[in-house]
Amino acid sequence: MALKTAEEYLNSIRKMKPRVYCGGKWVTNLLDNPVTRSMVMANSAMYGLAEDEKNREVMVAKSHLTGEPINRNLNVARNIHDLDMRQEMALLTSQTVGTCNYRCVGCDALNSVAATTWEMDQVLGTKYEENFNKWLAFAQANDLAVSGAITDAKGDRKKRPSQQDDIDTFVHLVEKRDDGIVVRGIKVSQSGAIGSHETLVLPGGALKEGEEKFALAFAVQNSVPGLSYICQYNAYSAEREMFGDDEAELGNPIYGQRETSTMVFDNVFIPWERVFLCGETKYCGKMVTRFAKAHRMNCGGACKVGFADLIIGGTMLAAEYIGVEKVPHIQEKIIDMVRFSETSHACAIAAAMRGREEPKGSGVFLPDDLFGNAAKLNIAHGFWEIIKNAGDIGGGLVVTMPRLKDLEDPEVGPMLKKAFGAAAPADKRMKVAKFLQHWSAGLHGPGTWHGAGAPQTQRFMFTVLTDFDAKKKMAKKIMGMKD
Amino acid sequence: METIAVDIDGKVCATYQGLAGTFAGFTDCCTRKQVLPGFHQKDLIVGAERKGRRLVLLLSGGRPAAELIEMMEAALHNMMAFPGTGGEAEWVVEVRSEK
Ligand SMILES: Cc1cc2nc3c(=O)[nH]c(=O)nc-3n(C[C@H](O)[C@H](O)[C@H](O)COP(=O)(O)OP(=O)(O)OC[C@H]3O[C@@H](n4cnc5c(N)ncnc54)[C@H](O)[C@@H]3O)c2cc1C
Repeated sequence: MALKTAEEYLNSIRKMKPRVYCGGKWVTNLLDNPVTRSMVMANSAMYGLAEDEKNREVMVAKSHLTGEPINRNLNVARNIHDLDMRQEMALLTSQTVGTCNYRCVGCDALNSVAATTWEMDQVLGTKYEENFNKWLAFAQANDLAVSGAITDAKGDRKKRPSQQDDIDTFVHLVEKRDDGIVVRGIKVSQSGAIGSHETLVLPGGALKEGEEKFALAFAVQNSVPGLSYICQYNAYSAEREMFGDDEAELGNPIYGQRETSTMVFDNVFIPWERVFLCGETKYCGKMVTRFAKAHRMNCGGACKVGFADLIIGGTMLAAEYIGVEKVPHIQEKIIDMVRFSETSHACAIAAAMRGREEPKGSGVFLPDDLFGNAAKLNIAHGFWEIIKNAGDIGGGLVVTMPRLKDLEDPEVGPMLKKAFGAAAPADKRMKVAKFLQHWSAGLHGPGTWHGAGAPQTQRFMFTVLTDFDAKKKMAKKIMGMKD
Repeated sequence: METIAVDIDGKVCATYQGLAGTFAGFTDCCTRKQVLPGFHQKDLIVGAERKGRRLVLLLSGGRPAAELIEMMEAALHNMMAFPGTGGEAEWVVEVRSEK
C-alpha cells in the first residue's frame, strides 16, 4: 500500500499512543481531546486531498526509489516540476484546511537529509544515504505522516550548545552502542508531531569541531517510550476545550489554529538503521541550510499565501455583509492584500523555477535560496498588513462580538439579530467576524513571523547571497566612474 | 526490513514487518525503559530478557491469549511494525502473562 486514505490514517493514529500532555492533563486518545483532535483532523484532510483525482498532479509523486506513486509529502524533488508542485501543494493544503499541513516540515527535512547524506557518503564513505533511503522507502510504502524537528530549545542564545548551563536545551548524544545511539534533549515548536507516525530530527544549526555530540540526524517513531510532548496551550485551546464538540462556534471549526508541542527526549534509543548523521559537525550547517532553502519557499511563499486567500475571501464577505464592497478605500485595501500575498507566491514560483540539483550528482533538487528567502521575508511583513486590513474591513465586531450561540437565546437572540443584521443577516456577519478574529487576533501573525526561521535569518541570507559589489560596479559603469 | 514473530504460549500467532532495527528498539523499550511501547504503565512489564534472537516478556496480570495478541499488535504498531504476510522471522517476541 503506497497511499493511505484519510480513514486509514485516522485508524492508524487511533492505535498510536504517544505520551502527550495538553493543558494540565495527559491525553490518552488524540481524537477524544478537542485540541489534539483538530491537529489530527487537519492531517487526515491532507491524506484526503491525495485521494482526490483532481489533485493528483499536486499531491502525488513517483518515488525515485521504487517508481511507485507516493504522497508528495514524502517525495524527494528530482526536477523543477517536483519543486513547483511542492510549493503548489503548500498552497493547496493551506487553502483547504486554513492551518498547517503538518507533514510539511518533515517533507522539507527529508529533502535536505537526502541531499546531505548523499554528499557525506561520497566524501566520507559513510552509509547514511543507504540508511536514509531504506527508511524513506519504508515511510513511502506505508504513507507515514512525518514531522520535522529542527528547532532546539537553545537556552541562552549567546552561548554555544556545550556552554549552556543545561545541555538538554539541545538534543544530544548520550551513548553510542553497538546497535544504536541514545539521545536526550528538547526540541520546541514542533508542528503536528503528536499526530505523526514519525519525526525526522535534524541538528538545530551549524556546529563546530568539538560539538560532535550535538551533531545528530535521525528518524524516531513518535510513540517510542522516553519521548514526551507538551502541547502549546493558549486562549484558543481553552476556547476549543470549552466548546467541546460544539465546534461550529469556532473560527476554524474542524482544523483549529495550529498546534505545536515541545518534544522532550529522555534517553531515547535510536537504532543505527535510523541514524543519518552522527558526529559529522561539518555537515550540520549544510543540512540545516538545505532544509531552510526548501522550507522558506514552501512555508513562506505558498502556505501563507493559502492563508491569505482565505483571509481575503473572508474580508470580502465581511465588506459585502455591511454593504461597503464597492467603496474605493475598501477595494484599495483588498488589492493591497492580494499584492502582498501574490508577490510572495511569485517568489516561491521563482524559487522553484530557478531551483537546481544540490549537490551536483545527488539527483536532489532544491529551490533557489535568494527567492525562497525573499518569499519568506516578504510574507513575514506582508501577513501583518493583510491581517491589519482584515481587521480594518471586518470592523469592531471582529473584537466585540458575543458568542454565535447567543443568537439562539430566546431573550438576547432577537436583540443581537437587530444589532448585527446589516446588508446580510446577523448570523452570517457574526460567522465571518469570528473567522476574521481567528486570523487577525490569533496565533498566525507571530507564527508566520517565526515559522521557517525568524526574519533576521532571512536578512542575513540576503547579505550573504546578494552580490553587492556587482551592483556597485553596474552603477559606476552607467555613471562613467572609473573606480 | 525485518520480520518479527509474536509467540504467545508457545505458538506463533502473528508476524510483523518493520524497518531493520525495530526489534532492537522494541527490546530496548522493554528491557532498559521497562515500558511496552504504546502503554505507559510502568508496572506492566514484570520480566523482560533478551535471549539471542528472542525477547522473553512476562506481563503483569492474568491476561488471556486474545488480550496479549491485541496488546502486542498495539505495541508493535507504535514501533511502526505492521502485520506481515508470515514468512521466516529473524526475531521473536515471546509473551506470557502472570498466572
Ligand atoms: C507556528 C510555528 C511552527 C513551527 N514549526 C516548527 C516545526 O515544525 N519544526 C521545527 O523544528 N521548528 C518549528 N518552529 C520553530 C521556528 O523555526 C522557530 O520559532 C524560529 O526558528 C525562531 O526560533 P525561536 O522560536 O527559538 O526564536 P528565538 O531564538 O527565541 O528568537 C527570538 C528573537 O531573538 C533573535 N535571536 C535569537 N538568537 C539570536 C542570536 N544568536 N543572535 C541574534 N539574534 C538572535 C531572533 O532573531 C528573534 O528576533 C515553528 C515555529 C512557529 C512559530
